[in-house]
Amino acid sequence: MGVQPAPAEPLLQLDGLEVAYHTRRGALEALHDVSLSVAPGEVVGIVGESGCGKSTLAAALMGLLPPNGEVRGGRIVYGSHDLLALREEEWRRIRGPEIAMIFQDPLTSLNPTFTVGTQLVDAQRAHQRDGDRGDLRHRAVEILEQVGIPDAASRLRDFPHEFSGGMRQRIMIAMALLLEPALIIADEATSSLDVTLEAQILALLRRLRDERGTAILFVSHDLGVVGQICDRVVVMYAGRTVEEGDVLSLYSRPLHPYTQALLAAVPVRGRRRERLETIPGRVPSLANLPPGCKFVERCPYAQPVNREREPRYVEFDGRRVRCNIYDPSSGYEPQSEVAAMAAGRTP
Amino acid sequence: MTEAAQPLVEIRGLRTYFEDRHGLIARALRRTALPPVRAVDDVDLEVGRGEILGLVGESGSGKTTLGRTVLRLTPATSGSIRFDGEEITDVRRPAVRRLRRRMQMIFQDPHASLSPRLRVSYLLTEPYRINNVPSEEQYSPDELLAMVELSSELADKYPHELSGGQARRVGIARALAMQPDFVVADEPTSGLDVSAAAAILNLMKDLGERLGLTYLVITHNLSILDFLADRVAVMYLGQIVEVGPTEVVLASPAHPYTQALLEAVSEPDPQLRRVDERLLVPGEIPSPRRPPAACRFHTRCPYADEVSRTVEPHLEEVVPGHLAACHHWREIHANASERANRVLTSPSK
Repeated sequence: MGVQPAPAEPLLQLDGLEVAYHTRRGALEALHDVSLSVAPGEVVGIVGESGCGKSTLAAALMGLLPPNGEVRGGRIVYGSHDLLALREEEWRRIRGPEIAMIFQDPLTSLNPTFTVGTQLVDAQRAHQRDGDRGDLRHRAVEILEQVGIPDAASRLRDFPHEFSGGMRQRIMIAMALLLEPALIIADEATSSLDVTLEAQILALLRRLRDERGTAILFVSHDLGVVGQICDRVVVMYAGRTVEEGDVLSLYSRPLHPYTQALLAAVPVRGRRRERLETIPGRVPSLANLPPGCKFVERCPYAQPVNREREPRYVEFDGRRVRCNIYDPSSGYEPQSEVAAMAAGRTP
Repeated sequence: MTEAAQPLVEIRGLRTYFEDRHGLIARALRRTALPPVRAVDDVDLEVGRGEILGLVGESGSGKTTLGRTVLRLTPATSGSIRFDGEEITDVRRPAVRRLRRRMQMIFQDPHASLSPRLRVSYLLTEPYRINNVPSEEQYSPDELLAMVELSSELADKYPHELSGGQARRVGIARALAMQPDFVVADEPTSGLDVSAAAAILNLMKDLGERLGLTYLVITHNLSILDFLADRVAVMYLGQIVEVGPTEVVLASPAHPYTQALLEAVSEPDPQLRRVDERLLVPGEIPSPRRPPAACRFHTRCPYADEVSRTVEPHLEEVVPGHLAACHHWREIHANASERANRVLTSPSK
């Protein structure tokens, strides 16, 4: 356990990614200036509320944006591949063997008309795995056992609907692991599970990282789960990355006022309070983003400059944060507690 | 819990079973009937006046069925439910209707329970039309919106124009329109973002105090119960396995299932990170059609032994007000208290 030092060569690197959705009301900016990297064997969390762009990010990484989505700028580099330049047939060599995805709902990614065994064998065939049917079946059993499906050999003959919800989630994880990808993108992978199952799946994902060095991009709205499993965390708001840092310092001393507000709103066991903190107002609509800081309407520290000036993503205290408070050139005038924050002390 | 008066809701030996209806063909083929689903299986529980009781358990534990049975939305198979001293288990339609004014439910999925074609103002006052409430006893839509801290402008909106948190508030306002005494809230924050969920919990607590409501809050999320509930009841395969004051149950659980649930909660504090070392319950909840014999938890329990497999445990008093149904609660409770002390004395950030 613990935070891994970031190696020099990232496995996945995003630079200034811009994604828009074309709608009848014009183009909506879904992602703006998204930069992040994932090192081999690293677990990186992407957190934010609904509509912050985290699922768009996951879809863009897999080349699976909906037809009205368009990457308008930036780069996505995986190893030596420029993912944005790939043709569809080249994507097939990346999706599965290199990058695999775990979705929230297993029924959307398992075919209801084929047995689990057939699906696990065909997936290997599609990627030219050597071996006869027996070998491929053997591999299928092995992978099901690894994710904790009891009696795996006999359950190859079962259809997805014959498994419980938790077992289906495991089968989907088995599918993702089948071709031994170097990177797994988990999009709300445990959000529909009971805590007991969720804890089992998290332990499984951790083991995978520890034993095989699989990197995981863990997309979730659940700060508890992200805090438990991730080495590094990226917080998103209104299509932007607003803060990034190692999990311990980000949780113990959040820099961005949004990260602070999010963490304060989570009920924590054993810390009884009369009232929970809430964030006033709502996430701005993508169709109507304010010109300056996108959090300005909800921010307790807002000054006039924040309404006009879109904050830059600046380095601060070994982390990155998109907030004028931490940018000496922004013209923001820190006062009292904010000054303490900007100077790097806990307010 | 207020000790003074009798409890508002008293449940004794309650069972709710679901039978499969076998069609002609199955009967002709002499298919052996499946055993019934024993969703609620011999539950004793009380909810005191003005109390917030949290009911927690995994999916399939029967917690939603218990809530629905108490409200007479699902018929009980046997046992007794008393509401405000009155036996309501078998009362007939008109009486149920009268009861419904005093007992309301906040449904889990507000969008599914709000008709998409009707405006908020109509939806809010729909309970009045259904129950023929005279107009002088009605709240106006504006009053109801104000009660749940929503702007009166929302009265003219349709459900799809509401955010998740707003829809949830409309669901609460609808439940409160009838001025009930007792409200069952099923997963009141599921699917909501962190801040919206926090606001709903604050609102429920405020309204409870202001209107003197009694709540049964059904959830799988122990952290929200720590904030909201006075007492917690833990349910497993149709039965209550532990019940007691929230801070007692959460700090020193006496049942291994409660312990396992608590262990599985991902706390938003990486310093308390234990993802690799948690004591996880293996497997999943067994089928409520064929629950394990004797102690139902024995198939997943690290403490299970011959006694657990042969003798059914009953709720026993750990300390007054704190009950657990486990043969081994003494040992487990001692361990839990010791663990809790360690967590409490470990440096906080």
